[in-house]
Amino acid sequence: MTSLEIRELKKSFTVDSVFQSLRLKKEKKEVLRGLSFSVKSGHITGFLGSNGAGKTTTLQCVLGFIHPDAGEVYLHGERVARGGRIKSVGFLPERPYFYEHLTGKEFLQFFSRLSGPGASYNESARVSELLRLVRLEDAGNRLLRHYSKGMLQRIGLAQALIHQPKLIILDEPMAGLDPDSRLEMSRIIKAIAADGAAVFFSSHLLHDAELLCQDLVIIRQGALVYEGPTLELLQGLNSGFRITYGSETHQEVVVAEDKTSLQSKIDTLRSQRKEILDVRLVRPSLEEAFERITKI
Amino acid sequence: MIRRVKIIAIETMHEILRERILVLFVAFGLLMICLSLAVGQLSFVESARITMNFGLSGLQIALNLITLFVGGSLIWQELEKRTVLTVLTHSVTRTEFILGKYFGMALVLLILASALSLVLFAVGWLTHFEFLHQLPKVIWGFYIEALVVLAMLFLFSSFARPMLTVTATMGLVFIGHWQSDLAFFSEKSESASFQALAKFISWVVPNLERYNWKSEMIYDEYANLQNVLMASANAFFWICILLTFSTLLFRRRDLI
Repeated sequence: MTSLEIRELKKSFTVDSVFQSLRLKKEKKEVLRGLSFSVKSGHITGFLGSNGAGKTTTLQCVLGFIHPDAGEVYLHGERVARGGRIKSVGFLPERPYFYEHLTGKEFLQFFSRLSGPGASYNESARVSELLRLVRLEDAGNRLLRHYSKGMLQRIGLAQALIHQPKLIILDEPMAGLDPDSRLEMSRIIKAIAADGAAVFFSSHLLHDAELLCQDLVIIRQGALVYEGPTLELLQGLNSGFRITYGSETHQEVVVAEDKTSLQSKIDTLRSQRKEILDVRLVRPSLEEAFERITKI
Repeated sequence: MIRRVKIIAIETMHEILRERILVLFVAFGLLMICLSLAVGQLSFVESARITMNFGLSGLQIALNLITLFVGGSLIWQELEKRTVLTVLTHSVTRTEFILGKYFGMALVLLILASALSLVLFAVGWLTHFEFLHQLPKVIWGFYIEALVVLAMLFLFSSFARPMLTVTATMGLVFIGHWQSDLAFFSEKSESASFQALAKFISWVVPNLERYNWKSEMIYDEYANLQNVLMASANAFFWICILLTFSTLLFRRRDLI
């Protein structure tokens, strides 16, 4: 089932460019050029692209913060109307600015009341459960202005989950976090997806995306470059084969680019009476794959 | 819809009541009311009347300053800090957000108007002012004026920055208070274009003097209930119009 579908999304911004004959020249910058993709329920989908590729603009269009010039957004199968209500979506912004005069608990209670499922819903139990999930039980009564960046990121995530949404959108959730907090964030994201929600997150940190995401959406200059499983992308872009030969004490390595070259190299080594110790498929990292496909 | 507007309004009220700038304006209002006791001493005959007049003016100015400077940045702050974004992802529409913010500020104004009027009542009682029974009516007038001004601020906030919002609203407040003078001069004027301009202004800017019953209280003139109800209905009409336009504009704009 599809949680999010985007069809032919287009968005341009007018930017101040240069002074020409004492007049400020305005230029139209096309940020999204007919972008289309979808996000499956229960999957963790990474949204990758270089700076200025249009990731944040896409997320802003999906969430209705900005209006696209053309194209459609479908959330849980329903078309999102201009200025309409965004239902069952959790969102963690890149820079988590929240109401600093509230404590962590009050902050979650506020959002719980805004979109809580109804009278039968146990608000305080849900708040405690989420504070436990993001490991902030001890900081629940502290004002948000005294939270560290990592803590704000985690309380922001709890806010995004308070109403048990079917789709969670995270804008650079790992940015600026220390290694411990990143691991913590990865653990929570996996736990959310295991509960059946779709997680769609944009990131610059390709290593984290490689470890976490089943699917990837990669864009370049506002257009789709790749959409599909992470494994498929990495397998499709294999870097060839690595043949190790020689003796236990002295090993040498030769690389074959494809299967034909692999066979001929093995035949050559055999004819030279060399002992083949190991043959391995060399897969590129997501970083290498990203570099290759975004430079095509 | 009402539930969400109520939740945002209550949260907004709590947020504003914790703002330091509010303390400054409340202190100013209290100072003006207390100062009215000293000003009243300047006259032997009309002491109570002068005290009350000065106190009421102080209260009105304080309410308008709070409305302008707190209400003028209410929407902008949400956009600047991007706190609005997370709110809108919790099934809240932009219209509900604007209404919630408006009613939150309206609640703050109600609390402050009530608190300051209690102090003013005490001052009136101390100075043996005769017509204190008219005080609720006058305070109600100040309050509905502040609500109309707040709706003007929301209209400008939906597309402009705080500086422009406050400046434009202040301009409308002055015009709103001088509408009777404008009508008087347009009657006397022979210029058709000036008359047309005055007519146009009377259509597009609310007449804020309509909500002012200060003189009636000071000189115990009769401001009947029908007048108060008509003025309240007029204020309600303007608030609806201004909020409708502000929500329409806010719905159309890109929030980033």
